[in-house]
Amino acid sequence: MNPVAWPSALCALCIALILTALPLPAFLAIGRPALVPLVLTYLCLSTPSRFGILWGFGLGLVLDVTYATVLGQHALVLSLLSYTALKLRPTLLLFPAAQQMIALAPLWAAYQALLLWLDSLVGQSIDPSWRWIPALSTSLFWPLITASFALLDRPQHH
Amino acid sequence: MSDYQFDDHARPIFSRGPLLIVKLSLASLTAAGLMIFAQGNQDLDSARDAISVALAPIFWISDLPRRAHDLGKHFSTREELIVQNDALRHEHLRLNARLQRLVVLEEENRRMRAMLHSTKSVHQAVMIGEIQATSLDPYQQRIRINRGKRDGVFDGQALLDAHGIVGQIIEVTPYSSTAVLITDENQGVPVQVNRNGLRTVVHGNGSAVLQLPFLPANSDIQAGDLLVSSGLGGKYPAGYPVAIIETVEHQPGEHFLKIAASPAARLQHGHEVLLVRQGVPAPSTAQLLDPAATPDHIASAQ
Repeated sequence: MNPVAWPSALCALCIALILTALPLPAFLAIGRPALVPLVLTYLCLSTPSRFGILWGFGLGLVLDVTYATVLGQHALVLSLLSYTALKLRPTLLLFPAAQQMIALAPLWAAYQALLLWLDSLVGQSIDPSWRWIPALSTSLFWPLITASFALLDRPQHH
Repeated sequence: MSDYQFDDHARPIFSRGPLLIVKLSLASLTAAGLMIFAQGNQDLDSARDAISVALAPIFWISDLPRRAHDLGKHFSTREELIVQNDALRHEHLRLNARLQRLVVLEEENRRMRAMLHSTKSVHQAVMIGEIQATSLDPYQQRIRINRGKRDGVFDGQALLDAHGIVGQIIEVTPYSSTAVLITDENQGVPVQVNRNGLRTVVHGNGSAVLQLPFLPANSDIQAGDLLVSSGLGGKYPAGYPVAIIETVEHQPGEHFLKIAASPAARLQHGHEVLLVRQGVPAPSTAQLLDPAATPDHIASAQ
């Protein structure tokens, strides 16, 4: 996992945001992976000198506006997520992508659970029956994210 | 774990350790403070607006697939257009015939309201908005509209379509706004049964079916009844169709009926909604039929 340069990091975040805001049919939208947190976690793990809690907070505010949730809800959860990623970093870096995927799965479950809890706290209606699907799909997207960044990082042959 | 903390190739973890937890506490406290402060408070709207304006290109790009899909419809065949045109012409004729009848009724209504010293106007001006996106979160029934503060949209404004009430605006930014549909779990619309004036509240439950949980077992209500908004509560304008009763069930021993209704508005179809404006005089039916006519003109003609 090599450090990611500014342009590719910002591009990845923009693409993640676009895919987050993309209208999908209802049955697909239920399983939409949390792409922005995924990319943020990757950036925290690969480039901790640039990406950390502040980025988590800022991106959280952006997600709050995108989802029309209470300002601060996603900011709080993403700050915690980036902190956890930075803390787990030394251990996670030793694993190959497949093991990282399994090790990170509880993190996505916790992410969804925390959002759910905050939803109910601020008075949003909640229907928890299908909320575990994003946790699963987010986990499954991890190897894809690492592969895409590895592809970007490939030495260029001329 | 401690063995690996030193081989962090970017920088030693010790220098980040205490700083990280301080940063986290600061960020979490700020976020929690924001959440508490933002609840029912309008002061943060400008911050939201700024972020949303900055995000406008992102929303625009994510909306492209839908637009490309719409573009396909532009190339419909000539036959289709002719058929559609014919259908619309007939519809127009039919509606015009009804409109003529409405002129008389409206005038009668005006006179009767004058007798009752009521000032409520029958007409409300509307503005057409286009749906940009639907429910980003599949658990919330929401749509985003391409009209914002610049167009005069305000918080709580009611949304209609050609068939009935769609929902209301819950968030306004300069160039777009978010509305919650009447089928959202948090939404209730005060209604009355069109047939007999029975008042109640229609609740959404997150699915395409609406519920009427507060009607006692002996209420006069039956399948097929049209529910129109009662205007109580002041959020929704009165007299617009909200839902049609699908099933009425009474389980023995229960105090309340179990009633399911389907929304009158076509929530899953169409791209346009009407935003009901307040304090803007709308053209009367007579003016719609004949732009030169004014209410006084009509009245003096009789």
